[in-house]
Amino acid sequence: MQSIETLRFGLVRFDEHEVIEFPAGLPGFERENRFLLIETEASLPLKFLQSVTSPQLSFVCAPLSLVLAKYEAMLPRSDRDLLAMPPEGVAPGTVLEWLAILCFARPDAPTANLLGPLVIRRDVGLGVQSIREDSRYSARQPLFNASPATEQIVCS
Amino acid sequence: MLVIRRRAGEGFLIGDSIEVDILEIDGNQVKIGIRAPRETAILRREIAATRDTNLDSAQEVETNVLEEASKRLRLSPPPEQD
Repeated sequence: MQSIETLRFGLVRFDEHEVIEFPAGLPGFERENRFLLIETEASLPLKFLQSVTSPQLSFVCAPLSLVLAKYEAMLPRSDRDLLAMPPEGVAPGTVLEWLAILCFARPDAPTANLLGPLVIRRDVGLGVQSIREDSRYSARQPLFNASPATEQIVCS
Repeated sequence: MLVIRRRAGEGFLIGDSIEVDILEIDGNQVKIGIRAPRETAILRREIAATRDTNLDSAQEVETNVLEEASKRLRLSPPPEQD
């Protein structure tokens, strides 16, 4: 058992097998290669990508399917290599988790990065921030399309 | 914006030290070669966008803001289309 003193969660204990290795880091954080994916009951469905190397660094994430129901996934060849996946298809036993990193630069209008989702292989503990080669989705897609007031009008 | 037309095998210069070659054109894809000083950063635009977003996303978020976002995500179904 190892432990780190994080900014967001305080003391976090973890086993080595829980560490997710990001061989390429994340754009802007190329030297951050080891992360934990933390979820707490209170914050679900949000999850946190917590750096093991830099305990002050963590990213708020949401399952891609909750941000956009019909997200059209794409996994470039180079990212498949980083995830130790075959050039095509998915080997049996592979468990992929797709997450969008959220941005709260404007706290009242959070956004999700749909251009570069996190793809994590839970079965082997490998991850990549996979940046699409098309420009179909935005790096700052509004998380909530309408204000709560508008939603109420639509529902009534 | 300066717009110029180039064919495969042609190129152009940016300043004294950056040289761009159009290597190959295949359908809607263009293969480009760039010769530039080592200290010049060259990034695919979408990677630069994600880097900037990551830097913003790494900032601390207040607990009540997170609670509000997780509550809304739990309650409202995601949009079908972008």
